[in-house]
Amino acid sequence: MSNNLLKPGHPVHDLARKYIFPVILLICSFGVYFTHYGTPNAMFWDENYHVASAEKHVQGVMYMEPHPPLGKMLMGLMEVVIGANNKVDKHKFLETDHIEGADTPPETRYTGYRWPSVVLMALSVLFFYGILRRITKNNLIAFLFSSFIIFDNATVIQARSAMLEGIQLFFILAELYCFVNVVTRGTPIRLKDYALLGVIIGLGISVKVTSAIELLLFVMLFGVDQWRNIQTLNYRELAKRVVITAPIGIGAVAIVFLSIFYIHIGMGTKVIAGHTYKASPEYLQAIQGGDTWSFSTFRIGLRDNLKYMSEYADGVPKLDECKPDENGSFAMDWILGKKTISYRWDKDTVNGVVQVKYMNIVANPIIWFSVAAGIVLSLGLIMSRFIYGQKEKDAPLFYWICAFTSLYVFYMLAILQIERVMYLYHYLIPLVFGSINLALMFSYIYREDILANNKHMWINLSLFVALVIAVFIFFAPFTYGIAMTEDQFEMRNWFSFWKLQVVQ
Amino acid sequence: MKAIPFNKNIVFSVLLAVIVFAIVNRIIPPHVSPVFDVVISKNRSSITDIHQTRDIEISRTAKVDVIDLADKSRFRHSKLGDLGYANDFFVDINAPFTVKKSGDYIFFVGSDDGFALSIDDRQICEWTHDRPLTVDPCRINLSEGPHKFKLEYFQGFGNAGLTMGYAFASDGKQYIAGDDSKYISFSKK
Repeated sequence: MSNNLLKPGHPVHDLARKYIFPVILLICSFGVYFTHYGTPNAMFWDENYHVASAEKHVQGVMYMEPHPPLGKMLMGLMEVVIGANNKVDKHKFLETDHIEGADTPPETRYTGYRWPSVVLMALSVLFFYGILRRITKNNLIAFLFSSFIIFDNATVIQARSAMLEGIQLFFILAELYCFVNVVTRGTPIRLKDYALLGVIIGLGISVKVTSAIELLLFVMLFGVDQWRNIQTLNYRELAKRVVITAPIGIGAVAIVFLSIFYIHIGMGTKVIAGHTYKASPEYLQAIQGGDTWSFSTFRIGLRDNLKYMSEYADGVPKLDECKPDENGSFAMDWILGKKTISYRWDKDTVNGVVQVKYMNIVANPIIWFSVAAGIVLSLGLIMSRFIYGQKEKDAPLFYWICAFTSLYVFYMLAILQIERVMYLYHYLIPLVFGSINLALMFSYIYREDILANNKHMWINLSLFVALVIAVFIFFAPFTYGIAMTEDQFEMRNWFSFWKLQVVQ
Repeated sequence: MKAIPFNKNIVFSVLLAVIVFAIVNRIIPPHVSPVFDVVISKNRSSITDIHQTRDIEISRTAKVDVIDLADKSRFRHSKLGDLGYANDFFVDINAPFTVKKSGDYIFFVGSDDGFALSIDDRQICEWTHDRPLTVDPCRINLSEGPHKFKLEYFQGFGNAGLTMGYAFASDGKQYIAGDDSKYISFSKK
């Protein structure tokens, strides 16, 4: 009977196909991301920077930052909409780029600033599910593997905060969904598809420039679009098409990116004394003249902002693993979750027992290690096809695996070229690529079992997902700042290379 | 002979079982017989002498089976892991024991840094200040029956460790404190 439920045509199957799985995922996702929403009631890690920047948007103050402004704009917007701090004096937020505890009135709440990251990340599961559903054409596989985007401790702690990664991942997944949708819908790829993809990629880049990895999607889209011409080496047709599609795609990215900066520059109508950043005299003069929305001001404002971003990046120190308090880590170490970062901790003694509330970015090792294994398997598969000439058993799925493995590998290669110190959360983007890749690899390896609806395979996969959830719950004290004794901490200190630091 | 079924699903099942076993094995706290209560007290100031006035910031108690706490040059039990703090802490162990055969006994106390050993409220040996791990023999004549010992220890800075053994003098065979023998038994709590 249970087999019948999973067969197409059955009413339960059709209902599940349309609504039940996405609804369950949304409930789980909002449940996980909104648990202890707004806590801790204090800033941690880069929140001290981003809240300061978001508040400058709220109060119309000019500022410059190493990251593009869209993420902070959304934080500022929701701070206004939610109005949790309407009666709080936040003038000191405007006088600094890094808010200290002493600058923060105790009644300050962070529910507004954190809202965009939390909600967008919670919604992202729909894109993740949609991507897998469209590629694998199997709702249950898509549903079960969507747990990866909900139950990863590192992703959750980052997305629960007023930081940029939750917002960025939303746009990354939106771009991927857009791309997958265009490729799998079965109709010819149109110019407006390039434009739409460009718009979403532009939004992602306007949050963090590391989203530029998604520009590769244009290359892939063009490859699918022109597959026949590529196979026949029809250079004339390829050239004709690229001359049209490249300007449309890249133009859309540029228009969105510049539009975001136009709004950013236009909103900066005040200058705080002593905080002029790299603003040129003519830019400052334009602000003082109330001319921030003109195109001439936009031109000089954009130039000054980009110059500031470039010089800031050059000034960031390099990774120094000999430094005792180094929080950064080498990109290849991220694959196994090295190294964790202690964002903040609060120590208390209850009935003579020391308890510490940790806020640490810690990987869900089941997810991270599985993703690493998936990449090893997919690289092996790709090599077997292109080096050893093995024939793939499911060509479309094989090429999807190639696509997501490529995104993962190219992101890591790009990151390895960056000299400045980087942190564990910079791995969250390739983790998304790797998670999708793992689901596809599973579908590839167990293709016959999926087609045969093999119970053993489904039980295994369900147990695997249950393990993902159980391990997430086990490490949840690090994610939500739940008090732990030293023994409870040590119980979770699984690997010395994670470099978790106990507070005594 | 029937072939053993072997396929991808069995491999996956075995892999899951191994992972679950490894996790359960990792998260179950290590356990040893609770023979001694070891009270570890972090001092606010530097410690240079076993008898200096204590200024305790925080204390905790660990239960151990043997006094063999010098693993990896730290104040550490081989199964329970690190027991002490980073630096500057006192350790107190007060425990009863039963002598089964009267005569001369030698207690071997190894410490890095200082210690003081008393039996039945009589101090029989000590090393008051810091040093690398070194063993001192402490001789005493004990009658048959119940006794109690008090071992104080401090760690200042650097490597650490504390061990205690015993031997019936005329026999010479050494035992670790906590291990029962035909000469001495320790109360199991």
